[in-house]
Amino acid sequence: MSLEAIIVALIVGGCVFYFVRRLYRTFAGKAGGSCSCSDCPAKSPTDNAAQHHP
Amino acid sequence: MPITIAVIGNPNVGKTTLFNALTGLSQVTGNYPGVTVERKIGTIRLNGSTAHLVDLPGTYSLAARSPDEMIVVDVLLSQQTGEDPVDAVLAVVDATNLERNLYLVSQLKELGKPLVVALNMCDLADKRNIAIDTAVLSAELGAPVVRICAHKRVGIDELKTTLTRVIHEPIPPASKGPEFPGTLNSEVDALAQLLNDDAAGVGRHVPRLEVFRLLVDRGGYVEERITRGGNGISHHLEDSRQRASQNGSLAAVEARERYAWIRRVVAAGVVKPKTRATTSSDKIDAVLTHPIVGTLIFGAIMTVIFQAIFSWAGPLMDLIDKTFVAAGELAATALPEGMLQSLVQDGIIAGVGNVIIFLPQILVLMLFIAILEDCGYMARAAFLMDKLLSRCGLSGQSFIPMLSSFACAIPGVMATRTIGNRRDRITTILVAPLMSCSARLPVYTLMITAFIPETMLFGGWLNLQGIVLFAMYSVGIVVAIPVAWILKRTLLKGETPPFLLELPTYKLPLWGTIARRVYRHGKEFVVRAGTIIFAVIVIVWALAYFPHSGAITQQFDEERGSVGQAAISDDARAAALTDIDNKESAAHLRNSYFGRMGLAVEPVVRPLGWDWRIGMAAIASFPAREVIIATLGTIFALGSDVDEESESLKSYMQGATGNDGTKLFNIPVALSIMVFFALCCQCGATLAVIRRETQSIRWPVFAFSYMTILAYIAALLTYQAGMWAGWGANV
Repeated sequence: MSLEAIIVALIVGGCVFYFVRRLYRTFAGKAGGSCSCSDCPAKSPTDNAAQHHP
Repeated sequence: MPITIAVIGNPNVGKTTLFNALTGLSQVTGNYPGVTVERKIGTIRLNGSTAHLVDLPGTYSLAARSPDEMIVVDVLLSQQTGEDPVDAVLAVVDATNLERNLYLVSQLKELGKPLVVALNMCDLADKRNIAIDTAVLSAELGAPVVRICAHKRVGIDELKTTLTRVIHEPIPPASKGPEFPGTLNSEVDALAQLLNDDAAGVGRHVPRLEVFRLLVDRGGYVEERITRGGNGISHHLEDSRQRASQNGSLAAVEARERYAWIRRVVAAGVVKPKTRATTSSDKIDAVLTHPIVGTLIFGAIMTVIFQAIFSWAGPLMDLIDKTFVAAGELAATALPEGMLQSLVQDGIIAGVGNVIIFLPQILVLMLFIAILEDCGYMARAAFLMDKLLSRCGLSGQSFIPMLSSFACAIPGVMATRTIGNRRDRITTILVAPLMSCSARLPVYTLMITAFIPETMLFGGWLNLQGIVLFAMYSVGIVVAIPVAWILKRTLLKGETPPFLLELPTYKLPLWGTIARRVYRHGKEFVVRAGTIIFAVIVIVWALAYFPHSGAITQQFDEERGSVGQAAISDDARAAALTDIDNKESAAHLRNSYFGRMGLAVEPVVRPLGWDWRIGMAAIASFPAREVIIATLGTIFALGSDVDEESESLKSYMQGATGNDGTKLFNIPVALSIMVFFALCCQCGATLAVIRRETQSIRWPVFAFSYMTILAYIAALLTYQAGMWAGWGANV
């Protein structure tokens, strides 16, 4: 396997890992998931209260 | 352990502005009610020690009728698991409207915690000749009163000093609050004893104030929570209400006693002009909230915004475009030909670069939205929309979340917490993602600049491209109205609620606040391009590059050999070799994993006028909408079947052809793509937030399903109507 193939495999593999992890964290409602929006509830440290009051 | 101070007040009295002034943070503020729907925490230094400051959503009373109001009650009563109890309360009141603001203060007094009252908007009160004697007011309220002007940072140091003093040397209340009938008080005490009894209770300590709310607020959130699970409390509660309501309805008794107390306090400490002068806000409102004139002005403002998006952002977009083209050329020369060069040039630069180009347009849109919000106009827009929304079963209350969704659906969905009625709240949540968020803007502008002629209309005043962009933004709200109408008559049947909206005073926008909001949105866009869009586009590139069949390469190498040996002119040979290169790229793309999936999908998207490349780009953009641009950039860079000199995505798209040699894109195709993106819920984060806010998987699944079907049908109708109208050949 050439160095070029290894570099490409690492970049693609890293992106697949990041994408899957992010998707999981989005739907699990964990910080760092969801979008990059600063208003994103998943990023707020104090967002739990509303969950108890649907 | 640091002490905790809760910042509380009516909606739109400047709590978050004060919170930012005290903590140095930059939480989102806006000149309309309902900006804060969850509590936010910051830290301040008080006389050398650290204190936590909790910014709570605005509320008129502690009688919780909506989720955001319940947050306030929970935090104040220390009912929030895992959160530090509140040690002191900082009540922010509007100095120009003390009668209404002191209602909440009268309830806060009953918490029995150190209380400081920050008298905000004193500059406006002075302008209106409202004289407030803070010393008298302080004595009447039994709590220190500090004059402040939060947005000018006036009085902040004095407020900090007062907070320090009150926390370290709590002052016993010097005056009594409202006095309620003895029967009511005795029933509250009896019920509190019952609820806190080990045998019959609810398994936790229920503070007296919560018991008071339970008794008085029939059908409120406190009742719902305490009687949940059929613990037998309901029966006792009804008996207590019967006995306590001898003097009339309990809610009416509470209001009567509190306002009587407020009148006494205000009479002692406030001198107001006998007649209320007509303010400049009143004069402006007479025009801006007029049903006809106001609506026309609203339309004119929106038209100006969408015209500006094209005209202002153009030069900067050209600059970014040229930078990425240069970066692509640099990558082509710096890296040896092969898969790594293709990844960098065709994947990352062609993909992410084509998304970043739209940053200036995002900034222009956000600049306008921030100015309109900060000056107080958005509340008037909600007022204008109330009549329209009420016809479909929603109130103007739903317009604020829908308005927030024009920036991003996530805060929009969260802003529905201000809606007390659960059915209205869910209806609003389901239609909010139909509003065109900033992620859709790049999709619209790419299609518009590539395929909508830059024709000037109305004597050169309006650009057709701007009008089409305005129309695309209108699609969401036009479709949301019948969708809400259907939902409110089927799945979520219910009465149309009355809408009470306090119109905030107009003020000059604070440029620092606006700059922070614009910067924040710009940063978010760039971060998205550098993270999720980057990751998706690298995956798309890999799927579109591999398996990169050796047999295809060999076949075209043989063709190149034949051309090399043919007796033709140099120019003809160069043209033939370019043609072979393009055909090879296209063959590799069609043979790639992405191409194979696309060909399977093509029959589904064909009726929309799309080929497999557009279909796959739309599917790839389900995690984030902007990915369609990155995907199209990569697809056309990898399978370049057009003139090599066409270096921008717009040029690639304008020259792209289908299998039959006809142009791939035309006006109906561009419109159908835009309509599909306007109505489809291609945002995983929004679906996750809908699930969280509704506490159910059913609603995000429903939102995704109905929006996808709606988008497909609307795109189909748009394309077919466009072709029928004869726009298909008009590129």
